[in-house]
Amino acid sequence: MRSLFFYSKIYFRYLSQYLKSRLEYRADVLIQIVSALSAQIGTLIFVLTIFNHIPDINGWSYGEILFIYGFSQTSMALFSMFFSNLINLGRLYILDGNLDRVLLRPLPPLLQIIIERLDIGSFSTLALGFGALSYAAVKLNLSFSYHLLFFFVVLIFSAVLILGGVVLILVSLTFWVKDPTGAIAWPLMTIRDFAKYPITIYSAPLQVFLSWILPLAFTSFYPATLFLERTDYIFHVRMTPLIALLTWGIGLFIWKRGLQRYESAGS
Amino acid sequence: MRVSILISLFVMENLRKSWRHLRIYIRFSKIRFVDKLSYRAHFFLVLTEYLLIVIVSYFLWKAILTDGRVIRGYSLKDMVTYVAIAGVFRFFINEFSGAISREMGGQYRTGELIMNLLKPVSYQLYIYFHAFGGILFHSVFRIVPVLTLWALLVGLTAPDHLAIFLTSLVLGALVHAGIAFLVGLTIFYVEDNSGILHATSAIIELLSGTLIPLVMYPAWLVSTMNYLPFRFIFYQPMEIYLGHLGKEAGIAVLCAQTVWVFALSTAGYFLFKNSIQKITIQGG
Repeated sequence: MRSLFFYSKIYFRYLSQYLKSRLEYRADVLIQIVSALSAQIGTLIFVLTIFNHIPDINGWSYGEILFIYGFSQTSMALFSMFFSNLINLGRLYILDGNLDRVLLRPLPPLLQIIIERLDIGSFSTLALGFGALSYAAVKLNLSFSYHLLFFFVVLIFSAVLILGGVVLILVSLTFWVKDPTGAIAWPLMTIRDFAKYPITIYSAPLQVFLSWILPLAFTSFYPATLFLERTDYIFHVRMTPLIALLTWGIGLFIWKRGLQRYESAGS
Repeated sequence: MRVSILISLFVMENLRKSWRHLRIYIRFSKIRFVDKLSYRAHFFLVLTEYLLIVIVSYFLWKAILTDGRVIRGYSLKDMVTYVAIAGVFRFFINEFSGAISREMGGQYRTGELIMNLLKPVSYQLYIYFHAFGGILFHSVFRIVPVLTLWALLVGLTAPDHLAIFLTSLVLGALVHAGIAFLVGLTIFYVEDNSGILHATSAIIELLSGTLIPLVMYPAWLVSTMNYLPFRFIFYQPMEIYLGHLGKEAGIAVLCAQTVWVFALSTAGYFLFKNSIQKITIQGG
């Protein structure tokens, strides 16, 4: 077992190499930022427009909705920043045979895949999400303490891990699929939309699904309620880090099993 | 009224004359349609994705328009229909833009453009009709199944003035084709226009009404949008569908759409003529 120091050194090496290769095409970086922003700005405009006409959605005020949106956007942006390369597993790694290269190197294969690429566009969505979050926090006059700041960091971290874990579970299943185009994880990018709003607006079965089967509510709504001082969901808030551990446990298990099944596409 | 009859007579006459011509272009549509058919495996996946989008907006609007709330004339009953159609159209509009703007960029980059310039057909019409094949594919395999399912599960109101609605939908697609062609032409001036394409598709999403009925925007934006073509892509046909516009107003929409189709396509025609002057094709 090598030290954490070693891995973080490797991580920053990979990162700086990747950034260097990307920054060679400055315009490309700008394009990614514009593209990521245009894909995400819609929901924000939607919320801003709707609240010109109504005082609340299902008992949630403008500030609260914006806070939940900001929380979900922040965790999603951090997820794309760190784990988005997982989605390429099917096409780029299994189909194109890049996994062979990864397996030959003396580093854990999963770690290599995760750190090989970084979604530059997500810097802009992170700014958007964090902006919405801070604006909502100021508007709602939320109380601040170092306690809460600590919880915030833990909960955001857990939310990002849950998203990463769920995607890891889904993409690891590609090892069992004949046509590994990575399509399995793809509808998930749409399902994430469910997490942008309070889950109380959905029907009961859907709420159960989003909490206990595909735990997306734990990446935005439940953790956000802690800061909104809604005490009904304190159980779920406490569960959030546990769910993060659980999804990673399952994900790693399936990943290991899948990797054993892997037969190179090579010739 | 009389003007519209004259215009449609004029269009019909010309269509009849150029029927033989048109058959060539219909071939291009067929090619695209058959091309798309080869991706059948994704059918259920994409269908699920469409339904998910519609379901999110459905619950959202159900919470927004609770207790009989009405926003600028839109009730929950209207919105149930609106979100279903807007949901499938949002994807569809993206694909359609891609089939025109992105296709042009791809052809420019690979040099395939030059092969198409050598053919004795209009490049603009070729691109339009190629994209129409995609429309047909989407209508048959995506829009109709999703809406049928939605009608069975949740319910859809039947369209008012079906004929006017369908005509305005077709004209809306042509307005969109005109815009997408102009956007696609930017490839001649910048090396990589994918940022422009993404930004335009966001603008189209916001201003065509697939995200939210346009009347709900702040007044200054609503009045600005009256001078822009985007609302004719989706919002105006939808207003006809929901019966918010009467027959007369509906026909006025059709006339305005026709004017925009001609204006945008003519602009596209001249700009394209101008743009191919500066073309550099790499390799050979």
